[in-house]
Amino acid sequence: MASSSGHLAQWQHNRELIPLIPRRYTDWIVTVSFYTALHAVDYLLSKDGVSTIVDHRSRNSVLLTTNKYNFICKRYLQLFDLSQTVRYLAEPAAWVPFNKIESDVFGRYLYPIEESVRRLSGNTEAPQAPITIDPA
Amino acid sequence: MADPTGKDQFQRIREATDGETPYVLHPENNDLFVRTGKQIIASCQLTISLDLWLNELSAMMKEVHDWAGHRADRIRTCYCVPQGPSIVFFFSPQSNQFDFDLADELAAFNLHLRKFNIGMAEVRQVPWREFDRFVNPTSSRWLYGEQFRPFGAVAT
Repeated sequence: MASSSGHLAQWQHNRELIPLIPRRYTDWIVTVSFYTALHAVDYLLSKDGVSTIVDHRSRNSVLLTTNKYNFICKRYLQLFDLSQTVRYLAEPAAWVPFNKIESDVFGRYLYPIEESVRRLSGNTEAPQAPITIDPA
Repeated sequence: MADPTGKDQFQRIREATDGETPYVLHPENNDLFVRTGKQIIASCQLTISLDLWLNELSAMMKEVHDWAGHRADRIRTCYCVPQGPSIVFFFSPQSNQFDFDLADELAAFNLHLRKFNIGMAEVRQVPWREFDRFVNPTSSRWLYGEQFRPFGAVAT
Protein backbone atom coordinates (compact mmCIF):
# COMPACT_ATOMS: atom_id res chain seq x y z
CA MET A 1 0.00 0.00 0.00
CA ALA A 2 1.28 3.47 -0.88
CA SER A 3 2.12 6.03 1.78
CA SER A 4 -0.64 8.06 3.39
CA SER A 5 0.77 11.21 1.80
CA GLY A 6 0.55 9.54 -1.62
CA HIS A 7 -3.12 8.72 -1.07
CA LEU A 8 -3.80 12.23 0.20
CA ALA A 9 -2.27 13.68 -2.98
CA GLN A 10 -4.26 11.32 -5.21
CA TRP A 11 -7.45 12.10 -3.28
CA GLN A 12 -6.91 15.77 -4.13
CA HIS A 13 -5.80 14.95 -7.68
CA ASN A 14 -8.96 12.99 -8.51
CA ARG A 15 -11.16 15.54 -6.79
CA GLU A 16 -9.77 18.32 -8.96
CA LEU A 17 -10.82 16.43 -12.08
CA ILE A 18 -14.50 16.12 -11.13
CA PRO A 19 -15.56 19.72 -11.88
CA LEU A 20 -13.80 19.52 -15.24
CA ILE A 21 -16.01 16.67 -16.48
CA PRO A 22 -18.92 17.92 -18.60
CA ARG A 23 -22.29 17.30 -16.99
CA ARG A 24 -23.47 14.90 -19.68
CA TYR A 25 -20.82 12.40 -18.54
CA THR A 26 -22.53 11.40 -15.31
CA ASP A 27 -21.01 7.91 -15.56
CA TRP A 28 -17.50 9.35 -15.38
CA ILE A 29 -18.44 11.88 -12.71
CA VAL A 30 -19.60 8.93 -10.60
CA THR A 31 -16.50 6.92 -11.43
CA VAL A 32 -14.04 9.70 -10.60
CA SER A 33 -16.04 10.46 -7.44
CA PHE A 34 -15.62 6.84 -6.44
CA TYR A 35 -11.85 6.91 -6.98
CA THR A 36 -11.70 10.14 -5.02
CA ALA A 37 -13.45 8.39 -2.15
CA LEU A 38 -11.22 5.34 -2.56
CA HIS A 39 -8.05 7.37 -2.03
CA ALA A 40 -9.63 9.15 0.92
CA VAL A 41 -10.39 5.75 2.44
CA ASP A 42 -6.93 4.40 1.62
CA TYR A 43 -5.43 7.51 3.20
CA LEU A 44 -7.29 6.72 6.41
CA LEU A 45 -6.43 3.00 6.31
CA SER A 46 -2.79 3.85 5.71
CA LYS A 47 -2.80 6.26 8.66
CA ASP A 48 -4.38 3.48 10.73
CA GLY A 49 -1.63 1.06 9.77
CA VAL A 50 -3.83 -1.26 7.71
CA SER A 51 -1.44 -2.84 5.23
CA THR A 52 -3.54 -5.67 3.80
CA ILE A 53 -5.31 -3.73 1.05
CA VAL A 54 -4.49 -5.24 -2.33
CA ASP A 55 -7.78 -4.94 -4.21
CA HIS A 56 -11.40 -3.82 -3.92
CA ARG A 57 -12.42 -7.01 -2.16
CA SER A 58 -9.83 -6.71 0.60
CA ARG A 59 -10.65 -3.02 1.12
CA ASN A 60 -14.40 -3.73 1.24
CA SER A 61 -13.79 -6.57 3.65
CA VAL A 62 -11.85 -4.36 6.07
CA LEU A 63 -14.60 -1.73 5.93
CA LEU A 64 -17.32 -4.32 6.45
CA THR A 65 -15.67 -5.97 9.41
CA THR A 66 -14.35 -2.97 11.36
CA ASN A 67 -16.92 -1.15 13.45
CA LYS A 68 -14.85 2.03 13.43
CA TYR A 69 -15.48 2.33 9.69
CA ASN A 70 -19.23 1.57 9.72
CA PHE A 71 -20.25 5.10 8.79
CA ILE A 72 -17.83 5.17 5.87
CA CYS A 73 -18.64 1.61 4.88
CA LYS A 74 -22.36 2.25 4.40
CA ARG A 75 -21.66 5.09 1.99
CA TYR A 76 -18.52 3.80 0.34
CA LEU A 77 -20.06 0.47 -0.67
CA GLN A 78 -23.00 2.26 -2.28
CA LEU A 79 -20.67 4.46 -4.28
CA PHE A 80 -18.60 1.40 -5.17
CA ASP A 81 -21.72 -0.41 -6.35
CA LEU A 82 -22.89 2.59 -8.35
CA SER A 83 -19.52 3.10 -10.04
CA GLN A 84 -19.15 -0.60 -10.82
CA THR A 85 -22.53 -0.56 -12.53
CA VAL A 86 -22.83 2.76 -14.28
CA ARG A 87 -19.71 2.51 -16.40
CA TYR A 88 -20.99 -0.66 -18.07
CA LEU A 89 -24.44 0.62 -18.94
CA ALA A 90 -25.58 1.51 -22.43
CA GLU A 91 -27.66 4.35 -20.96
CA PRO A 92 -25.80 5.52 -17.85
CA ALA A 93 -27.55 8.88 -17.67
CA ALA A 94 -30.87 7.08 -17.32
CA TRP A 95 -29.57 5.19 -14.28
CA VAL A 96 -27.95 8.23 -12.69
CA PRO A 97 -29.34 11.52 -14.06
CA PHE A 98 -27.30 14.67 -13.62
CA ASN A 99 -29.76 16.11 -11.07
CA LYS A 100 -28.73 13.29 -8.69
CA ILE A 101 -25.02 14.07 -8.78
CA GLU A 102 -24.73 16.96 -6.34
CA SER A 103 -27.60 16.01 -4.06
CA ASP A 104 -26.95 12.28 -3.88
CA VAL A 105 -23.57 11.20 -5.25
CA PHE A 106 -21.76 14.07 -3.53
CA GLY A 107 -24.27 14.81 -0.77
CA ARG A 108 -24.94 11.26 0.39
CA TYR A 109 -21.64 9.60 -0.42
CA LEU A 110 -18.53 11.58 -1.28
CA TYR A 111 -18.81 14.47 1.17
CA PRO A 112 -19.81 12.36 4.20
CA ILE A 113 -17.01 9.86 3.45
CA GLU A 114 -14.48 12.69 3.20
CA GLU A 115 -15.80 14.31 6.36
CA SER A 116 -15.51 11.04 8.26
CA VAL A 117 -11.97 10.49 6.96
CA ARG A 118 -10.99 13.99 8.05
CA ARG A 119 -12.45 13.40 11.49
CA LEU A 120 -11.01 9.93 12.02
CA SER A 121 -7.58 10.86 10.69
CA GLY A 122 -7.48 14.17 12.52
CA ASN A 123 -6.43 15.90 9.31
CA THR A 124 -8.57 18.99 9.01
CA GLU A 125 -6.51 20.18 6.05
CA ALA A 126 -7.72 17.32 3.84
CA PRO A 127 -9.84 18.21 0.78
CA GLN A 128 -13.29 19.54 1.56
CA ALA A 129 -14.33 22.41 -0.69
CA PRO A 130 -17.72 21.84 -2.37
CA ILE A 131 -17.45 20.63 -5.94
CA THR A 132 -19.18 22.59 -8.67
CA ILE A 133 -19.75 20.80 -11.96
CA ASP A 134 -19.14 22.58 -15.22
CA PRO A 135 -22.61 23.68 -16.40
CA ALA A 136 -21.75 23.00 -20.06
CA MET B 1 -30.84 -48.43 24.42
CA ALA B 2 -28.36 -49.10 27.18
CA ASP B 3 -26.05 -52.07 26.78
CA PRO B 4 -27.15 -54.62 29.45
CA THR B 5 -23.53 -55.59 29.95
CA GLY B 6 -22.81 -51.99 30.90
CA LYS B 7 -20.10 -51.83 28.25
CA ASP B 8 -19.84 -49.27 25.49
CA GLN B 9 -20.97 -51.09 22.31
CA PHE B 10 -19.29 -48.63 19.90
CA GLN B 11 -15.87 -49.06 18.37
CA ARG B 12 -14.01 -45.85 19.08
CA ILE B 13 -11.23 -44.05 17.27
CA ARG B 14 -9.41 -41.82 19.69
CA GLU B 15 -7.26 -39.17 18.08
CA ALA B 16 -4.70 -39.23 20.86
CA THR B 17 -4.06 -42.96 20.67
CA ASP B 18 -5.43 -44.00 17.25
CA GLY B 19 -4.55 -40.93 15.23
CA GLU B 20 -1.76 -42.59 13.28
CA THR B 21 -3.41 -46.01 13.02
CA PRO B 22 -4.50 -46.91 9.46
CA TYR B 23 -8.10 -48.09 9.00
CA VAL B 24 -9.59 -49.71 5.94
CA LEU B 25 -13.06 -48.44 4.96
CA HIS B 26 -14.81 -51.01 2.85
CA PRO B 27 -17.81 -49.75 0.81
CA GLU B 28 -20.15 -52.15 -0.96
CA ASN B 29 -18.55 -51.41 -4.31
CA ASN B 30 -15.21 -52.59 -2.92
CA ASP B 31 -13.55 -49.29 -3.70
CA LEU B 32 -11.47 -49.34 -0.55
CA PHE B 33 -10.22 -46.36 1.41
CA VAL B 34 -7.29 -46.47 3.75
CA ARG B 35 -7.33 -43.59 6.21
CA THR B 36 -5.64 -42.86 9.50
CA GLY B 37 -7.73 -42.21 12.59
CA LYS B 38 -6.77 -38.55 12.38
CA GLN B 39 -7.99 -38.31 8.76
CA ILE B 40 -11.32 -39.93 9.62
CA ILE B 41 -11.91 -37.47 12.45
CA ALA B 42 -10.94 -34.51 10.25
CA SER B 43 -13.31 -35.66 7.53
CA CYS B 44 -16.21 -35.87 9.98
CA GLN B 45 -15.42 -32.39 11.29
CA LEU B 46 -15.37 -31.04 7.75
CA THR B 47 -18.78 -32.55 7.02
CA ILE B 48 -20.21 -30.94 10.14
CA SER B 49 -18.69 -27.57 9.12
CA LEU B 50 -20.17 -27.88 5.66
CA ASP B 51 -23.59 -28.69 7.08
CA LEU B 52 -23.37 -25.65 9.36
CA TRP B 53 -22.31 -23.42 6.47
CA LEU B 54 -25.20 -24.62 4.31
CA ASN B 55 -27.63 -24.02 7.16
CA GLU B 56 -26.28 -20.48 7.54
CA LEU B 57 -26.55 -19.87 3.81
CA SER B 58 -30.09 -21.15 3.70
CA ALA B 59 -31.09 -18.93 6.65
CA MET B 60 -29.45 -15.93 5.02
CA MET B 61 -31.27 -16.50 1.75
CA LYS B 62 -34.59 -16.72 3.57
CA GLU B 63 -33.85 -13.47 5.36
CA VAL B 64 -32.94 -11.74 2.08
CA HIS B 65 -36.14 -13.05 0.48
CA ASP B 66 -38.26 -11.76 3.37
CA TRP B 67 -36.42 -8.43 3.44
CA ALA B 68 -37.09 -7.92 -0.26
CA GLY B 69 -40.72 -8.99 0.17
CA HIS B 70 -41.26 -6.20 2.68
CA ARG B 71 -40.09 -3.74 0.03
CA ALA B 72 -42.07 -5.11 -2.88
CA ASP B 73 -43.09 -1.63 -3.95
CA ARG B 74 -39.44 -0.78 -4.59
CA ILE B 75 -37.76 -4.10 -5.45
CA ARG B 76 -38.51 -5.83 -8.72
CA THR B 77 -36.20 -8.80 -8.44
CA CYS B 78 -33.34 -10.33 -6.47
CA TYR B 79 -30.87 -12.97 -7.59
CA CYS B 80 -28.05 -14.59 -5.66
CA VAL B 81 -24.69 -15.34 -7.29
CA PRO B 82 -21.52 -16.87 -5.84
CA GLN B 83 -18.52 -14.81 -6.95
CA GLY B 84 -15.15 -16.00 -5.74
CA PRO B 85 -15.24 -16.10 -1.95
CA SER B 86 -18.37 -13.93 -1.78
CA ILE B 87 -22.09 -14.37 -2.11
CA VAL B 88 -23.48 -11.44 -4.09
CA PHE B 89 -27.15 -10.42 -4.02
CA PHE B 90 -28.25 -8.47 -7.09
CA PHE B 91 -31.35 -6.32 -6.67
CA SER B 92 -33.22 -4.44 -9.36
CA PRO B 93 -35.40 -1.58 -8.21
CA GLN B 94 -38.89 -0.95 -9.55
CA SER B 95 -37.56 2.42 -10.66
CA ASN B 96 -35.59 2.84 -13.88
CA GLN B 97 -33.11 4.96 -11.95
CA PHE B 98 -30.70 4.00 -9.22
CA ASP B 99 -32.81 4.16 -6.05
CA PHE B 100 -30.71 6.10 -3.54
CA ASP B 101 -33.12 5.48 -0.66
CA LEU B 102 -33.14 1.76 -1.37
CA ALA B 103 -29.34 1.86 -1.58
CA ASP B 104 -29.23 3.29 1.96
CA GLU B 105 -31.34 0.40 3.19
CA LEU B 106 -29.30 -2.13 1.25
CA ALA B 107 -26.10 -0.81 2.79
CA ALA B 108 -27.49 -1.20 6.31
CA PHE B 109 -28.81 -4.63 5.39
CA ASN B 110 -25.39 -5.63 4.05
CA LEU B 111 -23.89 -4.89 7.48
CA HIS B 112 -26.72 -6.83 9.10
CA LEU B 113 -25.87 -9.87 6.96
CA ARG B 114 -22.53 -10.13 8.77
CA LYS B 115 -24.38 -12.08 11.46
CA PHE B 116 -24.43 -15.07 9.10
CA ASN B 117 -21.19 -16.99 9.28
CA ILE B 118 -20.75 -17.67 5.59
CA GLY B 119 -17.89 -15.35 4.64
CA MET B 120 -18.44 -12.14 2.75
CA ALA B 121 -21.86 -11.15 1.44
CA GLU B 122 -22.26 -8.23 -0.96
CA VAL B 123 -25.30 -6.39 -2.29
CA ARG B 124 -25.58 -4.71 -5.67
CA GLN B 125 -28.29 -2.63 -7.30
CA VAL B 126 -28.50 -2.95 -11.08
CA PRO B 127 -31.07 -1.79 -13.62
CA TRP B 128 -33.71 -4.24 -14.74
CA ARG B 129 -33.29 -3.17 -18.35
CA GLU B 130 -29.66 -4.36 -18.42
CA PHE B 131 -29.88 -6.98 -15.71
CA ASP B 132 -28.22 -9.69 -17.77
CA ARG B 133 -25.09 -7.57 -18.19
CA PHE B 134 -24.40 -8.29 -14.53
CA VAL B 135 -26.16 -11.55 -13.77
CA ASN B 136 -26.54 -14.71 -15.80
CA PRO B 137 -30.08 -15.66 -14.84
CA THR B 138 -29.57 -19.26 -15.91
CA SER B 139 -26.56 -19.89 -13.66
CA SER B 140 -27.66 -17.88 -10.63
CA ARG B 141 -30.31 -18.37 -8.04
CA TRP B 142 -33.55 -16.44 -8.31
CA LEU B 143 -34.60 -15.40 -4.81
CA TYR B 144 -37.40 -12.91 -5.10
CA GLY B 145 -39.74 -11.05 -7.43
CA GLU B 146 -39.94 -11.18 -11.19
CA GLN B 147 -37.80 -13.67 -13.08
CA PHE B 148 -35.65 -12.03 -15.68
CA ARG B 149 -36.02 -12.97 -19.33
CA PRO B 150 -33.64 -11.34 -21.80
CA PHE B 151 -35.37 -8.64 -23.75
CA GLY B 152 -36.49 -9.92 -27.09
CA ALA B 153 -36.81 -13.46 -25.79
CA VAL B 154 -40.05 -15.13 -26.73
CA ALA B 155 -41.81 -17.21 -24.11
CA THR B 156 -42.58 -20.71 -25.34
